[in-house]
Amino acid sequence: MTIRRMSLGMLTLTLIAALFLVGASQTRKNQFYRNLLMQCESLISKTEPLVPDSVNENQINEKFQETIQDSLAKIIVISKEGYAKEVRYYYKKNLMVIDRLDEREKVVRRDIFDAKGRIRIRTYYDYNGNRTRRDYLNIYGKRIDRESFFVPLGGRTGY
Amino acid sequence: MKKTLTQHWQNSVFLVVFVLFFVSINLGYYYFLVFSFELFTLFYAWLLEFAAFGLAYECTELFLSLILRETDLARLKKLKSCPPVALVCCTCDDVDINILKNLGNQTYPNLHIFILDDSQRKESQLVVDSSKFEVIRRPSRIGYKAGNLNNWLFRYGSYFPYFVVVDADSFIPDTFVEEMIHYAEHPTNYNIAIFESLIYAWNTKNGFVRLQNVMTPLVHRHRLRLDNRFESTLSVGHNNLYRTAILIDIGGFDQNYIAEDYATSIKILRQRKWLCKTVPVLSYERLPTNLTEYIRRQARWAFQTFQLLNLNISGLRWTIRLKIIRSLHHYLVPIVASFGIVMLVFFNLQRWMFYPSFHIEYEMVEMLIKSKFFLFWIIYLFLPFILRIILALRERVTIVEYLRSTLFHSALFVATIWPVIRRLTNFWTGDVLGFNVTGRSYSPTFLQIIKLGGAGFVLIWIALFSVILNPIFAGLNLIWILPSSLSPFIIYYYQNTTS
Repeated sequence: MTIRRMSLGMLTLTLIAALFLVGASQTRKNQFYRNLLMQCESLISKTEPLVPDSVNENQINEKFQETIQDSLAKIIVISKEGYAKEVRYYYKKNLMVIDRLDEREKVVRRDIFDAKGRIRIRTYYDYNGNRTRRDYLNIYGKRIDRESFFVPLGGRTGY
Repeated sequence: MKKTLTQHWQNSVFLVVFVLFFVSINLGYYYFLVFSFELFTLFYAWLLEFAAFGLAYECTELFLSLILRETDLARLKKLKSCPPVALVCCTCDDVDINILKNLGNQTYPNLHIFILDDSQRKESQLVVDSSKFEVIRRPSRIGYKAGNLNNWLFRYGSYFPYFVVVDADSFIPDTFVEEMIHYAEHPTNYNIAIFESLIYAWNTKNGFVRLQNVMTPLVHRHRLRLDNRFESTLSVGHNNLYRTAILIDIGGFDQNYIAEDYATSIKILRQRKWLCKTVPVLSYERLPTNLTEYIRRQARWAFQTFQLLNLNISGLRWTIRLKIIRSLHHYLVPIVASFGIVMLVFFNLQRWMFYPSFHIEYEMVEMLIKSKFFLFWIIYLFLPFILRIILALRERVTIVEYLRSTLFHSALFVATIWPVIRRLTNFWTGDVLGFNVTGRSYSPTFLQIIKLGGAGFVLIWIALFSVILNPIFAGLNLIWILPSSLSPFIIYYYQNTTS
């Protein structure tokens, strides 16, 4: 065995380790986002029976979260013009999900937050409520992955 | 048999600790970093793995050096007889008459001094002739230093059971040969082929040299505590003592490589009969006094290390194999670092193009500082630094001296990035460069320093500019970019400072 062969072996080993690292990172990343989606779904289903509170857009500030009394809360944010702008879901005073609404009060975008209040998943919907794509963001808000969904013929309405 | 088994387990300790560090670093990467599945990210992960190898090796060395005891070689209290010993001094147009004269002060009674003169210049030859020692010249410089030594070895070697090799810039204390023979003659050291000494710099009046020499006690600590224990010592080719019969037996010094020291000791160690060990005997050498000399030496070392690539290492212990890989890794670091810096600049510019704002949002800074990700990078950057501080304090190096030396070495690293890459490119393009001694040069001016460092300095300044554009996400990099960007000033300052 020569030093050249041993060095090439070592370089190959580091390359394999790098491949494992990237591969393992995909699994972990997927697991993290899967957990977040599951938490989001369970939170939304738990808040379904609740009667949502309405607040004006200008009342939503940093101190707003502290005023929430219940462990589960569903808040409809009313815009200055008087229509429903978004629906916020809180768990133990932490903002978990924001559903952005259009003028027909249909959800067009869903932002899911992590425990530190950073948006990690952003899902887009078309006018018919079909999920069109989902972006996975890293802690800096940079998109690291995108998932596109099949929309049945005629389902997409120009969104 | 029992001794071999114990040694086998001891060697495994190094490997086990190394693997533990490597796996821990990878677990850190896994938990704190997210990699998307792209070619660019894969390349980034590869660079991180490359860095992990170096970091794991360094941490293993530092950690074991911290906890293991010194391994003392047995030494005779008094010599029963004084076998004939040859002291051979290799020179090639780099002779210093004062150093040559000093060789005559050795206290060992049965010593014969030979000057192996490869000098091409007449004036150098005249200086050598004035020393009054036996001078041996040859018609050509075939095999460079190895050829020069072999020429002597096969003509006179059989008369001497031992010989000491010194270079033209080596300074050895008067009792050096006597001390070395006390170790070599001890019956338990019969299997040691090469006895290395602990080499310090003698020209420390210059600030440039003094700072290169600050961490030498740590290197010696590694040699005495780790290399001796794990039988991974490789010869440095000078200020050492050889058993002549073994050298003759293996066919002399290896003339195929410029790094004849590594090549020859690997040839000896491959047989698993003989060892190379360091003894606590001091000797001195001249270190480069300015950037020109330093760059010439580093580029040559990089070249000669890669020249060893086709050397056969079958039968060599794993600890030595790892050490050789580490040497290659060390000289590849400038290339990898350049890629890393280019990627950092690319990342910063890309971010800046999307968020062209200098406004620092304190929430974001706070979030970053509190994140585990930040903690990981701090540990990653500072673990070897802290381990080295602890060792430095144990070796009575003050923290101020240590910090100064670290700053100085990082400046030297930046200055040698470009010359080392250039020399390695020579190697890969098949350009066979001959051996040239480090020699002596005048100190370069500030502008010459910038010219010598070339692309390395420019790259660092571009990186600094890109970090300024993106202070939140790349700010941590200022820890190394800021001092590195001052490299030419630091080098110029110490080059012109006396200590």
